[in-house]
Amino acid sequence: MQTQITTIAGKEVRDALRTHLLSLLTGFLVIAALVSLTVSAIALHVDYLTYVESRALLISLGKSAAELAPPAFFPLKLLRGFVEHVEIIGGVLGIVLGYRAAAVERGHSTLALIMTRPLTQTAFLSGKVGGNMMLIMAGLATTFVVGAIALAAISGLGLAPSDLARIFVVFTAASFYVGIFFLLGFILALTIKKLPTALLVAFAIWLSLVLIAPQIGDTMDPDNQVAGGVFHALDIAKPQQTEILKSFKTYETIRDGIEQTSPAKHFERFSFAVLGIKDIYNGQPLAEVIRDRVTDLWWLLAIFAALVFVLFLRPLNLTRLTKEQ
Amino acid sequence: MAFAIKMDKLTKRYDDFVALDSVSLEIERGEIFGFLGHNGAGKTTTINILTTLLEPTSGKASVCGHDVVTESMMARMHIGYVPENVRLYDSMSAKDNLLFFARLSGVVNPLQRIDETLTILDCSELRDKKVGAMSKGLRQRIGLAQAILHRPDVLFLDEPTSGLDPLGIKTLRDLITKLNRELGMTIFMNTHLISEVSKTCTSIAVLNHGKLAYHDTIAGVLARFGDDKTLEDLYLSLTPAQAA
Amino acid sequence: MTSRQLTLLETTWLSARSSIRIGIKDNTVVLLAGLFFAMVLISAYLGWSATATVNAIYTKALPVLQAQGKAIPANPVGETSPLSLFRNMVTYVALLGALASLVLGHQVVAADRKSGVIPILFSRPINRTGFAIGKISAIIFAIVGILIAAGLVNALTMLVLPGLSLSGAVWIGLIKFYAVSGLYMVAFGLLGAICASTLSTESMALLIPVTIWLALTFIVPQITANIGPMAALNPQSANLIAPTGGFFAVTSTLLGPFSIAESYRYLASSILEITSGAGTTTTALGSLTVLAVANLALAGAFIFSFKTLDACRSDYRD
Repeated sequence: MQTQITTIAGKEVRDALRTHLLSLLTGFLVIAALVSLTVSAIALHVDYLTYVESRALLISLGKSAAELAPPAFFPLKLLRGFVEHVEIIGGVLGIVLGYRAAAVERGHSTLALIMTRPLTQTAFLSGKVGGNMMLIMAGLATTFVVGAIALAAISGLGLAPSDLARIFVVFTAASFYVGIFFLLGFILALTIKKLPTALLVAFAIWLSLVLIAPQIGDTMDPDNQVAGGVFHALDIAKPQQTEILKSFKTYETIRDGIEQTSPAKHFERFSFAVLGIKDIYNGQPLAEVIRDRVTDLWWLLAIFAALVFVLFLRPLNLTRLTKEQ
Repeated sequence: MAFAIKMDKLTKRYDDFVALDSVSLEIERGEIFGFLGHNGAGKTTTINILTTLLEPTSGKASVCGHDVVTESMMARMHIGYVPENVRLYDSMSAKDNLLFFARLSGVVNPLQRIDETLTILDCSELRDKKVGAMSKGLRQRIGLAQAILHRPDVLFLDEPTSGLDPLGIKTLRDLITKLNRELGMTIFMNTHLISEVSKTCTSIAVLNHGKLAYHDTIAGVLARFGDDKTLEDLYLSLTPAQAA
Repeated sequence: MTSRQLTLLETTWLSARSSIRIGIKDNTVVLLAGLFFAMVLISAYLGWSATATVNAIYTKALPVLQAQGKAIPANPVGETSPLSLFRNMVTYVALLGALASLVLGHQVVAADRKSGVIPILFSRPINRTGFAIGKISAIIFAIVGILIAAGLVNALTMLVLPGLSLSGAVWIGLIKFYAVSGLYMVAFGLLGAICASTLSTESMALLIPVTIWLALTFIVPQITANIGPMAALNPQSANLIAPTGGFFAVTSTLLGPFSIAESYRYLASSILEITSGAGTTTTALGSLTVLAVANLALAGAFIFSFKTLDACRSDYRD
C-alpha cells in the first residue's frame, strides 16, 4: 500500500510540475508578496521622510519636536500585506490544485482504470492528498523564502532566529489553510457532475469564506464606518470605549461569530499575532502568542481534519465521475 | 455546369509538415463521394478547407463554382456540414437547436422546414427531446438535420459513422442515400470504413500522407481491379505504410 | 439552395438571443447571480445596522463627553445620504458582480466551443463580427437585467426603512450607481469572453481572467495607493489618503488608466456619498473615462478574438 501511495503522490508532483497552473499561481503569489513588501517598505520610508520634514520644520520654528513620534520600524510588520495575499491567493492555489487532482483523472477516464486495480480508495486518496500537500508546501515555501530574503534586503537588518521561527510558524499555519481549500476543490470536483461547475462552486465558497464573511465582520465593526475610527472621531479614550462597547455585546457576538466562520480570519488573526503585526502581540514571546491564539490554530486544524474525514469516508461513485458529455 | 467540388493543386502546410500535398480533384454534382485515408492522411484538413474553415497554403478549391477563399460567403450558402462527433447544445431540445440553425441560414418558415426535415430523417419523435439526453446515433441524426435544413447543394460529412453501432451505421447509410436520391444533394464523406464506402458511394478517392493516391468511380475501381479483388485490397495496396 | 446571408442586425439579434438563453440556463451563472442577490439583500441591512450602531454609540458617548467637559462633535453619520446605506454594494459588485459577469462572459463563448458548434457556425454564411456583437449584447443584457433587479430591491429597501429622506437626487444617485456598476461588470464579462475565445483549455479560460481580477482588485491598489488587500474591500478605502512621494505618484500615473477597480470604487463611493474625494488625485470624469475606454477596448479585443477563433481547433483540450 505504501508503494501505491508514493506512486500516486509522485505522479501528482510530476504532473503538476509539467502543467502551467502551479507555476502560474505560485509565481503570481510570489509577485503579489514581493509587491506588498516593497510597497509597504516604500510607504514606511515615505512616513519616515514626512516625520523628518515635520521635525525639521518644528525645530526651524523654534518649537519642540519631542511630542512628534517617529514611525516605528518592526521588519515583520511589513508582512501584513504578504499575509493577506497568502490568504486570498493561497486559497485560489489550493482550489486549483484540488480541482486539477480530480479533473485530470475524470478528463482522461483514468479513474476507472486506476480503481479497477488492486488499490483501495484510501490508498488512492492518500496519494492524491499527500502529493498535493507537498506541492502546496513547496509553493508556499518558495513564497516565504523569497519573502524572507526580500524582507531582510529591504530592512537592511537581516532576520534574527526568532524572526525566522515566527515566519516558519506562519508558514505551517498557511500550509493547513491552503490545504483546506485544496480539500474543498478536490471534494467538489469528485462530487459534482460537471467539472467547470465544481470549479466555480469552489470559487463561490472561497469568495464567501475568504472575502465576504470577513468583509461583513468588518462592516459590522462600527469603528470601520467612519474614516479614522468612530471613537477617534468622537475623541473617546480607550477606557470609555470599553465601557460603551459593553452595551453592544450581542451585536459584537454576532459580528465575531460571522468572522469565526472564515478560516481566512483565523489564519489572519493567528499570523498577525505571531508576526507582531497586531500591536498587543508585538514583542511578546512566541510561545505565549501561540498559546493565546491557539484557538485560531485549532479552527484551522479542525476544518482541515473535517474535510479529510469527509473525503475519505465518502465512497467514490465511479459511474457518476465521467466528464460531462 | 460547374462541378460540385473542384480542387486544383490544393496544398496545406503547417511549418515543416505537409498536411495536403497538391491535391487535384473534381466531383460531379449528384455524386456520393467517399474520401478514404488512414488516420492523419489529411481528410479532415480537406473538409476544413472546403467548408471555408481553413485557408490553403496554395492551390485553389471551389464549391458550386465559388472559390472557398475569395468567395467564401457565397460558397457557404451552398454547403451543409456535419463535423465528427457533433454535439450541439445539450440543454436545448432538438427543435430549439434546429430553429437556431435554420434562422442562421435564413430559412423561411423554419418550423415547417424543421418538421419536414425530421420526417425525412425519420426522427420526428425527437423534436422536443433534449439533445443532451440522446444517444450518439440519435444525436448524429439531429446533427445531420441541422446540416440540411437549408437544403444545401453539397453536404460534407466528417467520419459520420464514428462511434455508431451496426444498426446506426446502416440507418445513416440509408439516410445519406435518401438525401442524394430525393433532394439531389452531392455528398462528400470522409471515412476510413471501406465497407461503408462500397455500399454507399458512387466514386472514391484515397489520400495517403496528404497525397492523392487514387480517384475513380466505384464501377471504374471494380473494372480495373477485377471481381476477385475487394475495395479493401485496393485501399491496402495504395497505403502500404499503414498496412505495415 | 434556400440559404441566404443574414443582415448584420439579424445575425447580431440571433446570436444575442441564443447566447442569453445559454447564459441564463447555466447553473454556475445562476449560482453566482443568486449569491449576488443574497448580498444585495444583506447589504441594505448591513448598511442600516452599521449606521444605527454608530448612532447608538454617539448617543452613549454624549454623556461621557459632557461629563469630561469636552466639545460635542457632530454625529459622524448624522448628515449622511440614504445612499450611503448601500456602501457595501461597492464591495459586492467588485467581488460577486465582477465574478458573476466573468463567468457569464465565459459561458457565452464556452458553451459554443464545448458543444462543438463553432465549425457549424463558421461554415454558415454569417457575419462573424455581427455574431460577436450579438454575444456582447447578450452579456450587457444579462448584466443589466441583474442590476435592474438589484436596483429594485434597493429601492424597495429605501422605501421600507424608516427615517430616510428620499429626494429626486437620491433616486438619480441610485440609477447612476447602477449605471457605473454596470460599466464595471460588463468589462469583466468581456474579459471572460475574450479568455474563453482565446485559450485552449477551459480551466485556463476561467483561471486567467480570475487572476487578472485578483490583480486589479487587490494588487494594483496596493501599488498605486498603498491600500492593503483586505482594506481594498472596505468601501471606506475610497477615503484613504494616498501616500505622497515619487513612487506612488509615478505608479498611480502609470497604472491609473488600467486600474478599473480603483476607478469604479472612487466613482461608486462618490455617487453613494461615502467619500469626500479629498486627498486623491482621481476625478469623476477621469474614472468614468477609464471605465468607458476599458469597455471599448475589451469589446474590440473580443470581436477580434472571436473572429479569429480557429474553427478547426475550437474544442477545449480539457
